[in-house]
Amino acid sequence: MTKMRSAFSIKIVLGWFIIYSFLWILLAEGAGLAFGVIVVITSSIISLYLTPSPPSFRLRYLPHFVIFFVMEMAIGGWDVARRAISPSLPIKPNWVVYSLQDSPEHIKLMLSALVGLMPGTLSTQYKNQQLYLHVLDSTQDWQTGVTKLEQQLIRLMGVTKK
Amino acid sequence: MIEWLSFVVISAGVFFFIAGTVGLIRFPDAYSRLHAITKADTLGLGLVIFGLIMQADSLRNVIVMLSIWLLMMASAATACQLLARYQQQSDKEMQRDD
Repeated sequence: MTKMRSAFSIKIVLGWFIIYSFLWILLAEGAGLAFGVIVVITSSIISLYLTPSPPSFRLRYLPHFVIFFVMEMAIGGWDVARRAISPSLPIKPNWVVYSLQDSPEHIKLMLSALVGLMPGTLSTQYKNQQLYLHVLDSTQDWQTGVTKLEQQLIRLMGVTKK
Repeated sequence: MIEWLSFVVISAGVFFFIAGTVGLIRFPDAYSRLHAITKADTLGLGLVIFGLIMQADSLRNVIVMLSIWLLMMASAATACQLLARYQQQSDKEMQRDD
């Protein structure tokens, strides 16, 4: 419950509430409002409980991030599709460890999740500034992509802790 | 013209869905299979949605489709990580039992 209290502020509560209300109205076309209210409130409470520190976006970096992310995701999808349908099945799976920068928790969390959509990398967890990754082809350069994504996320969602 | 372009983009999306499934069958271990299913399917759905957006008749439909892609991307990224973590734990347990 301490987590919930530390993240508790009107602005954040309202933020989650607006996001989920928007999603419900959009997807349910305004139908089932009573059920919608329950869902929106429950989702907001869960989000408040789960979010260690409320993420903030620097909107001016968002377009650049979206372009970067969509491009990388397209390369990632093409890369894995090519390997899957190639008769020789050119993969060399292995485990690697990436040293994380000293960034806020929510950036590490986002990196750990989003790295799974980047070319050839998949994260299982992070611990003590180390991100544990599974790579599809260990002979391929995977570091550059992960570093770029980390830098993009730091720029978009916060600064490196001093 | 736009119908044809849309058809081409949707077909490309379907190709990635198929490739992801082929990867799921052909790749040797659970982690590699997760690579295939997460990345190829997310791109596949993105292309299908992009193709459908070309033919969308209202802004609302465009926003709905983009939201679906965004939500699917978020769940794919999260679920993929959780499945990989679970698999890693059960691998470790199996090694301990041996």
